[in-house]
Amino acid sequence: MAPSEQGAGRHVGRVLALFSAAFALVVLVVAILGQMGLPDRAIIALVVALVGLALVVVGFSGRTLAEDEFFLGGRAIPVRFNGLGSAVSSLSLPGIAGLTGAWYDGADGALAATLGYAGGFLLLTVLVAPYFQKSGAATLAEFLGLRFGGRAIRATAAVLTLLFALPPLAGTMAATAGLAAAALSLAPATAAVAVAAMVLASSLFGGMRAVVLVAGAEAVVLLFGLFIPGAAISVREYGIPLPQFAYGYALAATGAEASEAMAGHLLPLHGIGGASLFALGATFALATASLPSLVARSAVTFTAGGARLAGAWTLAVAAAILLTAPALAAFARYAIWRDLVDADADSLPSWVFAYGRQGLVRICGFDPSNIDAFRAACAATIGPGGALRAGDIGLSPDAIVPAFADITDLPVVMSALIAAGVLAAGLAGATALAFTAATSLGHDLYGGVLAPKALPGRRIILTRLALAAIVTGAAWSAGRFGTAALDFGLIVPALSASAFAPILFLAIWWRRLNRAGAIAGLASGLGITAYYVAATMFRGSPPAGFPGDVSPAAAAVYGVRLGLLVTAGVSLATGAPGAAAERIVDFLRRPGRESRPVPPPPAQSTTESARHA
Amino acid sequence: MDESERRRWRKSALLAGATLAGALALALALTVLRAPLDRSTFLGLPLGFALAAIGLPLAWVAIAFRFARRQGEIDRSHSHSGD
Repeated sequence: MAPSEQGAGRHVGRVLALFSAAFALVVLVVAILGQMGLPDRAIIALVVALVGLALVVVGFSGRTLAEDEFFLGGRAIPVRFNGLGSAVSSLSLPGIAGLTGAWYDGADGALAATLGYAGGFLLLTVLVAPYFQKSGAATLAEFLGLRFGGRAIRATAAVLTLLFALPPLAGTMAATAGLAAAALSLAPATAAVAVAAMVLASSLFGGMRAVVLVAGAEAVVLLFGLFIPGAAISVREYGIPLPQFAYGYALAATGAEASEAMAGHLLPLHGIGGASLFALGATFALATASLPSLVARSAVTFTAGGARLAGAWTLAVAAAILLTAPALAAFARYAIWRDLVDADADSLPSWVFAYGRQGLVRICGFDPSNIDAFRAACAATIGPGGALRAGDIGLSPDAIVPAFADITDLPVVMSALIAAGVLAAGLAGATALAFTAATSLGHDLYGGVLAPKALPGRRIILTRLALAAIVTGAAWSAGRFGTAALDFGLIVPALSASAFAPILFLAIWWRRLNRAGAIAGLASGLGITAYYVAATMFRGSPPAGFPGDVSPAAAAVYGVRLGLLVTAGVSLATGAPGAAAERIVDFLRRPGRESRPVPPPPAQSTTESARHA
Repeated sequence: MDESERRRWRKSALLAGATLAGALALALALTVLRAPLDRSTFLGLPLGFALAAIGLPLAWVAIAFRFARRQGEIDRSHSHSGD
């Protein structure tokens, strides 16, 4: 480890330790104030507001005017810290609260998604991260532009990156705003503005440097918010401090009768099964390994070896979160079965009514806060004063994590911890997506394609303007359409993986790949998946001629397969890459530090060169 | 790329291939063996499920760190201080 790396690592480690200690102290003080009579809502609002304020301070402390720091974090981010932030940012709300909900829902896809995420981080570590770091590129589009030369592929990749980032950004911001509105008793529009302000504070002044610093702090808040309540239940019920190894006992003690199914929006895996499961796992893995916002995080470490190690840490942190999700779901399911099944419909706990008002709970098919309607419905199905059955109880999968402390009867300070944690996860994901979209515009399309000779300051200003516009637009969308954009959340990974995974992997691992092959592979992979998704969604059944019958969410198996074949076929048919491209490949594969060679000129292949000559 | 570089790249590619093949083999083995394994329980869960949902991600974490360490050794043995 280089001395400068050790120094930066110690500094960031101290900051992180200080933040963690301060957060623990705040939670402790607020818990004591709660014992002294502070109202429940004030406890939650205080913890969430203080965490928000601390994240703003961390974001502002990362401010910079240096291009290297704004786009690449100064390439000075310690590997463990990078792993923390990268895991939380890429899992975000769908991979944490959504996945927990999917486990609660009993979806077969939950295990496939879990292994898909984990496999994706492993693929990133082995196949991509060190080589991307070596390239010195700040974005996936810049990397492809460097490897293949010319502006067309960089522009295409930048536009696609932007398009793939916007729907999940709008959906994540809407879901995060909903959580903030509930925690802080804000109007939805005010909450959307607050979330937008938080995202901008975490990225506008410091770019990637601030994004990574804030993501590390957000990861700490999330890990507190998931592990402490989970461990509290695990110890209370089973005497085991690790919930990941205790939830089997909760499942074994829970009745097998299914509760009423309610749709979740964060990770809607319900109904995906059979042949789609393997394809779903593969799609999640390929999408994670080629996720533009995650791949870009590989660039911020000191060395190629550091990027590899950061990938391993990302997988480790992600695995801890992914293993906690089924535990929280199982504990919640057991508590509901214990407290609600066979209970009198007239004596339900207060959280049922609180979450019912948000549309997240149904009893006998009705919102329980509508007392007359649900009592009449229950009287009709189970008789007046009769006992509720599991099938009479419906809970949205999206509510499992936010409502976990209420469902399992934990102290209100645990609700505050969880609220802060899920908000941190949402903010981390939204910030990563917003910054990725903005760099596509400011760094790639403007700085790389339209005005390659523009001054660094101008590229930063353009990126900041793009960031402000994108976040404002996403906040408007969140206020106007709510979480509707999340309905596209499962399709985007399939499209993104189909476009990027084949050419990203082959760009590093197959030196014979040329630009024509890359463009053809990208177009064919994306095209076939888009066709399959559109046909399946609009016609209601998959188009003819596709082997298997997989969900659109898992359709990357078609796109990636075709993309690999077309990339290889066209590359072989159009001549070998030129010497400049070979130098780039050799450069990427050498782990030592050295200057980057000049990218290949537009006429790249020997065939093309000969034709031009 | 000189001969030493070529040797280093061959070792790196072999290591990457072996790492991913090992990770995939574990996943496939658990898929095949899940039904018979599920006849036993572990930590209150069917054994096959427990190995897939808990054991496999943890095994992949160990594989990732082992890969990173081994690749670092290969790079150092070929005189690169990239790590």
